[in-house]
Amino acid sequence: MTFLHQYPKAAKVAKANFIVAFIALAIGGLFGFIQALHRTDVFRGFFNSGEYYTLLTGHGVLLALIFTTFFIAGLFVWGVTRSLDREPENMTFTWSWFWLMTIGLIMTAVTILGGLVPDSSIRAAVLYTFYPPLQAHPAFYIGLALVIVASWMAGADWFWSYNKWRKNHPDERIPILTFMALFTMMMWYVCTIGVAVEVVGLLIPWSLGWVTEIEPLLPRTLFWYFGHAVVYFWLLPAYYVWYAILPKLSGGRLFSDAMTRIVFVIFLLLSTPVGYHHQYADPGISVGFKFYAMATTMLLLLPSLMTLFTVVASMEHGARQRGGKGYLKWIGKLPWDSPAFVGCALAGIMFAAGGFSGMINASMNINLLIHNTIWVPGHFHLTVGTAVALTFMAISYWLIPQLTGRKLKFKTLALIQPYAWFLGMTLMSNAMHRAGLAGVPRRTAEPQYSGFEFEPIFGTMAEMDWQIAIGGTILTISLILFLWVITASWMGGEKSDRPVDDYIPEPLSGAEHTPKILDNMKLWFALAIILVLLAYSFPLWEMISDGIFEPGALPRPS
Amino acid sequence: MIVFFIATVVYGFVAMDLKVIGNYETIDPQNLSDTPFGTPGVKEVTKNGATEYEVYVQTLQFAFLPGTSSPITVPADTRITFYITSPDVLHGFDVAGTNLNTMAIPGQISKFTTIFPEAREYGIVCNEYCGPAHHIMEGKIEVVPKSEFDKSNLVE
Amino acid sequence: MTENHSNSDSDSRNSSKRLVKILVIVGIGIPVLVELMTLFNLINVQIFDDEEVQEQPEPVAEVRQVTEGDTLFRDYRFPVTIELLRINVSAQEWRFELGLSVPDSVDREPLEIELDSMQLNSGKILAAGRNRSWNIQEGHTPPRIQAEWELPNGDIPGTLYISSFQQMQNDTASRVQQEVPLGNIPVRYNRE
Ligand code: HEM
Ligand SMILES: [Cu+2]
Ligand SMILES: [Cu+2]
Repeated sequence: MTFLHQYPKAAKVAKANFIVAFIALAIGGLFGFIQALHRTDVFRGFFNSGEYYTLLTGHGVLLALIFTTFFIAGLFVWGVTRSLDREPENMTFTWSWFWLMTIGLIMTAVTILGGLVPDSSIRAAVLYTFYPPLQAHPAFYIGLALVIVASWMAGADWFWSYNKWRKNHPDERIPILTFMALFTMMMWYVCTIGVAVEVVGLLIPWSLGWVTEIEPLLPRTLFWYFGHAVVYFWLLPAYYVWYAILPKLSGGRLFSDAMTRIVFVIFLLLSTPVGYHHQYADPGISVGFKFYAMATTMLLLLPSLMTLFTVVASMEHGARQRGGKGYLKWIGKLPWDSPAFVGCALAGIMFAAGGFSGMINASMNINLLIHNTIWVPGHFHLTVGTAVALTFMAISYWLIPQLTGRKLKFKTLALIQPYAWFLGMTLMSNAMHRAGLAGVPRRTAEPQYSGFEFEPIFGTMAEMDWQIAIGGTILTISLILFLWVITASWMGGEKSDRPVDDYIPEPLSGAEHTPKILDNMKLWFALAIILVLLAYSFPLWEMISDGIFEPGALPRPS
Repeated sequence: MIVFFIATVVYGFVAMDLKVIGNYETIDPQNLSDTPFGTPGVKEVTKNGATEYEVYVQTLQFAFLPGTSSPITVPADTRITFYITSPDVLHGFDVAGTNLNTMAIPGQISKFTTIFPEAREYGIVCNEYCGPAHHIMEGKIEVVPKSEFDKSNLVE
Repeated sequence: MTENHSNSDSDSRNSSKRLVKILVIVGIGIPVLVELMTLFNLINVQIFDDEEVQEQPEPVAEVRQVTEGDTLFRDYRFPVTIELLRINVSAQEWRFELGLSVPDSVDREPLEIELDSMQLNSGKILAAGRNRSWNIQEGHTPPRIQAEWELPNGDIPGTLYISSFQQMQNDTASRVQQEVPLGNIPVRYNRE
């Protein structure tokens, strides 16, 4: 029996979340394609340069905030339901968070797309970071607030299931699929406090005109309190897949249950206090706190390195099970013809590269060379744009059949897709990194200036522009392949009781070897809060003590 | 490796003239006219008996003042301290291809000190999105040999 | 029958193996190559940096661009001064404003000024449209002309085509056209 038949209610919820996620991916990806052609001056005929920023807002919001959040919700519904062996506790509650989140998304999306309608007063070209005093339509902020609140409700839904389960299983370890989901959500609670306070406490009253002035640094700091942790909110579900499912796809089993739990605990503790590393170039935050954030950021490399180790070890185990031998030869025995495996594995490889460019970002002094240059999008297209997005796409090839009871169609196209993404992303990201070193800014419709020319260390600007445009085009083709395969399978795949093998084997080193203290959620949550207070209370106090809205700036409609 | 990275940065602090920005110094963005930003430009100051220069720059939608209509002209081999603030929205002030790179935030003053080693031109890019004409916001710094620096364009 | 079937089965297995091979070579090989080339170039630049001769960029034959304060029809009887050149930006508008003034001495013959068309940096050409021609009559002092265009958001005028009906030296009147390459147009936020 597959997931659909065992948990029909949960399957429906997960599917609904995936549909929204894929629509956001389709629209956001289309905007990405237009951006890649526009800013490189390869083709500017779609939209004018003022509208570019509306598209870029759409790209950032739809992909980084909407696609991820909805996909994660679907993934966790699947994982929690399955590992606790319970349908959601109350379907009315479950559907209410789904619809609340969707209404929020629609409000936000409408205000953004309003910017493409001539003379429309409904606009939100404020990018996904929405720094004031640039001001969007109030519905933009209200919609975002609804998405956040609904995501809290989703988390509460999973904790609810867990508590009910706990009553019947007082002495069992938290099943790993639930453990990872709950720790991710705890981190989400800690970090979204910042953006919730920002949006509800400052931006909504201000956009409605209840207060006229706003201090720009305070919301910006609150945003980045959230803004780095959100990266881990995207990444942890990818780890979720790599830890729980990828070993199985490569023919083996998870290497160590304990390692997995330790990694998630570390992320809960350290994800939020690092936010200032996005503000190295800001005035108004002292160097000492920036230094603290930098040290913490470096520490965060540790769990990622541990992940790399565990995942590679699990894959090697899998390959050897399949008859792989030798020092490196086992790699050839991995299932390089399975779309789900290939996508996850290539995403992991790209993440390692992204980690390297991330270390450079995190170093305060080097950061100033590349701060706000196109280097930065070059970096996070490796992390969120590939490690996360490609993992999500790849695992969809495995999840969607379980949720729809239909077999995957067009397997060849599905196999080409992750390879194409890897190729396109290498081209685009490589050139973005190089252009960033020359000083080319990000978020710029026409980064060609009349008064001076950029001087790349090697290569030419034209060559980099073309590389970005070609890479972006290949990515778009890959995205179309993905959407086509998923839609076709969902609508017309062959029905089957068991469309995929969805059995997940036990880890090599199981939960019985894992220290019990790792499951103590209250302890880790309290520690996480203390670390956040240490990092943030003083700078925030400095910003607030001279008046919450002081020194005040007037709004500028976007 | 992590230790290595932290060590490099500490080294960067100690050994180089580091330009990380960071002190909480506020200003009323709606009332710059009563401050040194009211007469933006290059000013001469004497510190410890040496002649140095201070540059006050306003970043506004969609120009550097000075920088866009006329270049910021400063001498080489001299300590120059930049003070940057914005009367309207967030902007960036990035001297292209260097690590002189700061945010300009209304209400805050960004300050950094540098010495340009050679006479040449640099482009200034606004690298933070600041509105529909963000991409046209650019400026120029002209570093001239110390001996050729013309003091008649200084502001009080 | 059966033989045929198993044949095509192994055929398809072979072809899928070949596909994987191609995909790995193209999909992973090219990326590795690109990264290696970058690494090589980076190291190359680091080591041989000193030898690199600073190439002076070729001086581009610069067209002198016209900005605020410049004069058109300089060699004619009635030169026209650009008083205002500006793009006003706000959330919904992207408005180009042009202000021209002509000397006070327009007291005898009427002067005619016409804005023919304008080419934008994006390549679009805006035709004259209505109210783009002025007849400056006697006693009209100081004659000042102001024109506005709503441009596509983000676009910037590159060249203006303007013509004027001017009195020539030999006392005949004739129409002269001037192509004005515009430069350095301030783009400012408009508070209104
Ligand atoms: C078809 C594939 C994609 C293409 C061609 C593409 C292209 C681009 C380009 C060219 C930019 C830089 C724009 C600029 O700074 O001016 C950008 C920014 C960005 N992209 Fe993508 N992208 C793609 C997929 C993704 C995915 C899958 C994600 C995340 C899930 C993503 C997240 C972002 C974010 C967060 C930004 C920054 C937006 C901002 O600066 O406000 N992109 N993208
Ligand atoms: Cu700006
Ligand atoms: Cu800008």
